[in-house]
Amino acid sequence: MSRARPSGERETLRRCWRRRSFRAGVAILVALALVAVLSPVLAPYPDEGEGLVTDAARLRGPLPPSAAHPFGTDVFGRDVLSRVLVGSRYSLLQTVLVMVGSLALGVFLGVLAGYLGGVPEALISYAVELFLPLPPVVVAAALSVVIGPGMLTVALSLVLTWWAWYARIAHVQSRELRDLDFVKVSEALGFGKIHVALHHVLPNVAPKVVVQSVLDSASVLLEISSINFLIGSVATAFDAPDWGTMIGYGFRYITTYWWMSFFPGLFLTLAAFGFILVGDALSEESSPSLRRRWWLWF
Amino acid sequence: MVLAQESRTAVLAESLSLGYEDMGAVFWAVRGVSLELPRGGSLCIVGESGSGKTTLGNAIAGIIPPYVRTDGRLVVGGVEVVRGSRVVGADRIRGRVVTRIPQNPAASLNPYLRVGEIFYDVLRDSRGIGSRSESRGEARRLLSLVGLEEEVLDMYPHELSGGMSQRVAIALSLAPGPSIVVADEPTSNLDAYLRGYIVRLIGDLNRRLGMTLVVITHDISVAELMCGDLSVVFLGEIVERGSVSEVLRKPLHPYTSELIEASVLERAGRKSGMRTEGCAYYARCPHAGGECLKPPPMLRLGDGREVRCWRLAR
Amino acid sequence: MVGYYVRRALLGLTLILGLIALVYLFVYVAPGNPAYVWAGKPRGPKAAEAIELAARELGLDQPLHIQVASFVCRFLTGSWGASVAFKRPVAEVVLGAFKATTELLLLSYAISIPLGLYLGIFMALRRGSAADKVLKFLSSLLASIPRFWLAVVVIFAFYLIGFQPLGRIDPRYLAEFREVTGFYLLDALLMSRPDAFLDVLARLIPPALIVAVYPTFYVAKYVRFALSEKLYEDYVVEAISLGVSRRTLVMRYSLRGVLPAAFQLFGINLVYSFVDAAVVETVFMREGIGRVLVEGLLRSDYPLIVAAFFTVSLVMLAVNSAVDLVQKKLEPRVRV
Repeated sequence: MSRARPSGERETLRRCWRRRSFRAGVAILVALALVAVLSPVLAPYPDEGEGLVTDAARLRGPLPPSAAHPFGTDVFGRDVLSRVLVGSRYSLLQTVLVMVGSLALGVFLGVLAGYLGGVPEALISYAVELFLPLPPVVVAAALSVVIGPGMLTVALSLVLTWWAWYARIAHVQSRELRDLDFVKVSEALGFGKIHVALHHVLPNVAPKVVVQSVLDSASVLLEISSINFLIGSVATAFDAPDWGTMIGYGFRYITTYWWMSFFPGLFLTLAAFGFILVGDALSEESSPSLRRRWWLWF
Repeated sequence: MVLAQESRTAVLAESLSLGYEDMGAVFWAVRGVSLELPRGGSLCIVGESGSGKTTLGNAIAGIIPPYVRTDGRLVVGGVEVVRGSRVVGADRIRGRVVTRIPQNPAASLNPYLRVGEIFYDVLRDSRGIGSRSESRGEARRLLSLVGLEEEVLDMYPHELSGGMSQRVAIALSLAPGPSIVVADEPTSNLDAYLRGYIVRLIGDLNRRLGMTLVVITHDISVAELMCGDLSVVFLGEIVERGSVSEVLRKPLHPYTSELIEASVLERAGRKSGMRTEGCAYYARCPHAGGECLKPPPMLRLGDGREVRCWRLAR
Repeated sequence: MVGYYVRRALLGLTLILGLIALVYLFVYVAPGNPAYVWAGKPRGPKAAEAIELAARELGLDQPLHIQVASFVCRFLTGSWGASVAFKRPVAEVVLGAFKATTELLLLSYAISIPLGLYLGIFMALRRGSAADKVLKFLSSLLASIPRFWLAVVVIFAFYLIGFQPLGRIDPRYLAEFREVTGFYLLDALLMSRPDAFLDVLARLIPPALIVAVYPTFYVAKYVRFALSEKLYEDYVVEAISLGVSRRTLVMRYSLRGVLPAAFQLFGINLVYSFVDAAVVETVFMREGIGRVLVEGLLRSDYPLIVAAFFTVSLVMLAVNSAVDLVQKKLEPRVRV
């Protein structure tokens, strides 16, 4: 397999690991992922976490934070801690969906454009220019009316706007590779275009785009939650359990039951902070000149 | 403490070591180098890439970033620059006593500024020339020294050809009015014709303007055209030194012989068809010197033998 | 250079066409019956009639080319029909809301551009110092806080101290308030009512600050990073060797190289700040695109949402092109 620098990424990761902030970020993300996976076991009231208004909840009503319910209970009496823990599943899953979807679409189209050139390149770069400036929130609003609101609609509308960003990066990268010797040699050896694109161009383009996607992950999470918040603020179906929707729904009761929107936001911030810590370390360590000890010396 | 004798010396290094620190370990690029260059002298430091010659040249030019580890002593223009592990006077010589002609002139010019503005910044900060018109006049004078027209001042660096940016870089290095100039690989990335021109230009800094000249190069053949003294470095150590003509005539260290052979081979490999103003054989001649840039006369030696070469005219 | 502007203008025009095509897809390729969606998914006895009306409005009974032509004409002339949710012409509603959101965004960016650049330079020059570390931690933390949640928390804090800067203006001014430009700050000035102006400003500043958080710290972090990197470029080291002063080095050599990219980042972030603005203004109960979207979603007012989509995307396209042009000006090296 032809790779420009086989050990480059591993070396960068090793250097990242030496940073305390990077390890802290990874710890936060691993902990949240564990919470997401184990939430049915961890949550004191897993059914309420999923949005069910149980008889116990109906009897309980909205309660402020206490020892029995550390984060309080919502208007329907559901345990907010359980809601937050189970909600991590939906928020993180949605983020991963958007990242994977836009990466796949963006890298595929970007490599196609950069490697093939000609008409495909012109068409794809046009689409990139068109989709890049679309604000996801208006796309989400339109799609919500057409195909109905929901987790997948929000994820789809984000993929629709976010892929262009990765396509642009992959495009520039693979255009540079197109003229390099090893790609030309592989073509001369009689490998088909698709084979060369998959086996020689893609492996060289992917790392850089994936690093970029890690840097963006916090923005994706927050963007999704913003849209969910907006939709949640008019939601009548109160069972959508992700953090953004919970805050949007709970916001109506901010002056009376503030804990309904406060605690999900805390978790959202924590998750975004984890992503940002990891991304910061990664971007600084991928720059060779910044690895040196630095201060003004002139 | 700087002795009176040291102030007559342009560059003085006493078992100078320079190294880089990376993830805890120190790699010494220059190990225990001692050298002495009088004012008005010219020294060529020759070695292959990775021999530490650029690190040494940068240190002489006062470019010692904080990640560089030092040992020994370095005095430049009477100012102590390195004392043991401490860098004490780099900012007092840099851009005042000594300047550097960079290795890659195209990347060394600020791409966002016109050439005239770069001159203005340098002249203002190094010599306190505050007015734009005065700075322009001075820049024009400096450019004429390197054979460039005033129009260059209104161009952006990316609009200059390779040879032009090299000449602009030379003119810029003269702008602060230094007494010592360090030229780092001044002829790499240039074609044969320009190479001869630039070599003569840099040699003239020493010969005609009386500046102290330090040339860093991997090509031993250009040493002769620019410098009087020669130091050959290998893996950070000086392996041979002497006057250029002596060393080239009778190299004592096998590495020096190897460098001379490599240089002859490199010349032979160059295209011979390229016709320059001077000697037709210049590009491939192992003995090519500065005068070879002028067309040599046909010399009659008697016995009906004739030869067209400056070497025999001398 | 002129050729570049011509090409950019042509690209801009084709992008507008592309956007119209997208809107067309949204309207006519809705799953199920487009007329049903366009009519706002009506139910009840008058549903059939409403759907019939929508179908005629969309020209669904016409042949395709006439359908497309009439659609494009209607869209370009701004006759977008009436809004069910607001009981007013769609164009009027969307335009007014758009102005409100723009007012908020403009103030946010007026704060965040100078502040972000300043903080970035400050951190880069003191890299590794205690101030740098604190600011860096703070910018990472602030960038992680969701703006809508920050707005919710701020509203709650304001509620606790009995201060409620909700809406765009105090209702007591509304009787005499005339909307001339649609930008309330300007309108208050035109009325020559400094008290109204201060009231509008006091209600504008909290949400504007919240929206400004993200671009400010994002760009500050970028400038810190890029500036430090630029200080190792060949041409900076060369300037150092020529004795150029530290001030000149930072401002004209390093920062000059960072500005084009920083500027572009502000442009890219504007799209996401727009989402923030829409959400934050909903929390502060201000008129604006956020409210239009919310009301549109509540009532399934599809014409309204499509018009909002078109307007906002069009302006973002225009801003993107403007950023490209300025970028071109800032970057003398030829790049296409």
